[in-house]
Amino acid sequence: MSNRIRDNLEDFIGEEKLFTDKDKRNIYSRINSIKEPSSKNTYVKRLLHAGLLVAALCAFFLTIYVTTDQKNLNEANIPLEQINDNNVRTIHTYLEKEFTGPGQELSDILDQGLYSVELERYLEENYDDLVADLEQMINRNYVLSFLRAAHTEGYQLQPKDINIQQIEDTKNDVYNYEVEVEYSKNNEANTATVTGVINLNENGKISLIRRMDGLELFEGLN
Amino acid sequence: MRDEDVFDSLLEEYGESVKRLIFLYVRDKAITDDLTQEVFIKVFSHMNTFEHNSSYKTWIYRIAINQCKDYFRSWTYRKIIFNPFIEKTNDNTPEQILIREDEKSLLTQAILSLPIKYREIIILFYYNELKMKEISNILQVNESTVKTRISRARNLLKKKLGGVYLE
Repeated sequence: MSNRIRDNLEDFIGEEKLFTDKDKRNIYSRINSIKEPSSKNTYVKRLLHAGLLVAALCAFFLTIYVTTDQKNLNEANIPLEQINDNNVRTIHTYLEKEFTGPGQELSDILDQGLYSVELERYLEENYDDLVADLEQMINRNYVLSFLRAAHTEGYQLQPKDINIQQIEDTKNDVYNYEVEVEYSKNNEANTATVTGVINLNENGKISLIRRMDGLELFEGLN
Repeated sequence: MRDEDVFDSLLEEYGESVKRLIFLYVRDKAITDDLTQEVFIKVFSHMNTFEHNSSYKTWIYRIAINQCKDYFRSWTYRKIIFNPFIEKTNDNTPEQILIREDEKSLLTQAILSLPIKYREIIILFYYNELKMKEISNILQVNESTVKTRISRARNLLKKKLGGVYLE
């Protein structure tokens, strides 16, 4: 376990050296300015701060611009019954299941632990038609991950907005998805966004889920 | 040895590991840059008061962790919305590689989503490979608390991931 965690965190940080000569220079420069404060230094510092402020403002407005622009490119959230594309319907159904509840039935089943016959039956009934290899999906934690966490912490999940976009120019059927999920407990509600990529096989079933980013929701459910 | 010379060697020896530790706390490269600077400025400023009751490593890590916690309490942090995940995969990579990378990503997300007191214990114990006694010194809690937190952190990870990744 130790190596696995270490490798994962190393991967997250990346192989590149983080502490560079630039860091050293900055630190020594700060130390020198502490040791020898001068009016010139103060002036340079103020100038630097002003520059940083301008840069931060530019970055802020650029982010707003890009975000707004990207939203305009997204399809509007369409009710399931109006979706004609079978692939999109499959993904939509899967995402709805993953981010709704847990209802009483699922809660009762989860209370019995992760290895009950009831849970096996529930998964087969709900996911067999949607995914190509249910066992693989379960093992890779792409089924019920967030609902299990919600159940443990006493939250209810509700998808507020589901966006599914086909990625053009790919050999297979590959889709980006973005779900705005409301998580609520004791009359208090918050939202978090989960994103990822889903591949479908030639039978229109989900064969692969990747690049899932559910950190915000995971954190919210703590 | 002059304080300046000791500081040079500390910067050389711990610069990288401290910066990596800070990054795992705050998960933002720009903020990591700033906090790393602050940590070593503090180290330099307090060199003459260091009493050698612990190792330099323990002392510097403690300063780094306190700096991160101060940052979490700050106004700046509360105003920031994180979206720090940088994906390294691309669509041309073979499927199995993608799956393996995704497994890693989920474990990382689960670790990073732990409450700070459990996240830091996982980082210090499993990533930095520090001994319980060292962690106890850094976090200023007794060793039995460290043990309990490690066990609780593991259970939380199991709960999040269903045990699959912890076997």
